[in-house]
Amino acid sequence: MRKFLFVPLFLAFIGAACDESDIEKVAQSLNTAIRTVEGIQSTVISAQRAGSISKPNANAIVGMTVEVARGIGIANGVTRNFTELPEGGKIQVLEILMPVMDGIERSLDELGIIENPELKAAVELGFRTTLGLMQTAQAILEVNDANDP
Amino acid sequence: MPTTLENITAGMNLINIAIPGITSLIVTLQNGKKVDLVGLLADTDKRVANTVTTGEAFLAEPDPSEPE
Repeated sequence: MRKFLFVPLFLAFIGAACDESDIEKVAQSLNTAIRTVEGIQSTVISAQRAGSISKPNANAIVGMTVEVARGIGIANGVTRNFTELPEGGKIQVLEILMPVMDGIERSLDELGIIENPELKAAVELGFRTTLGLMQTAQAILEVNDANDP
Repeated sequence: MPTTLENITAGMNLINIAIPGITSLIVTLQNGKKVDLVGLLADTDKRVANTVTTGEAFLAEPDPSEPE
């Protein structure tokens, strides 16, 4: 059976420099997240081409990747507008991250449509990695919110 | 002159990925960390656009199992 390889990039992010500014950490999270989503999309499309997943089910998952990618894009755009994240900027990024994370959690609930266990595991790992990256960005922003006078 | 050479050396050490264009090099010399952030944000934008475009194109494809 064809193997569906998916490399989690979250561990690479953990090894990144610990003395970056808030904005750089958030930007790094978003960049690693979109790379992860790219991998999910590519894996599912390849699986559909190989006949391992039906077109309707592949469409459902690819649709999720498009929505998550759009959310990451919006958060990236907000992040770009600040050299340092001021109070308002942090709130804006948090407000964008929350729906993206909710969307990912809904996607995880719907993965039962994937019958191939290896594909399902690969896609689930990808979405969980992306969710973890979003939660990391959220934690960075919330900790610094708490530390602000 | 020695200060300029030191800056150039420091800038070159910061460039550990391919950043094309003399404009990017100048930005590196002035603020090494900043160009990394700019490149990172731009890379994310590019990947987002590609993911959305690829996904939408796939969604527009007909189901091959359905009769024509």
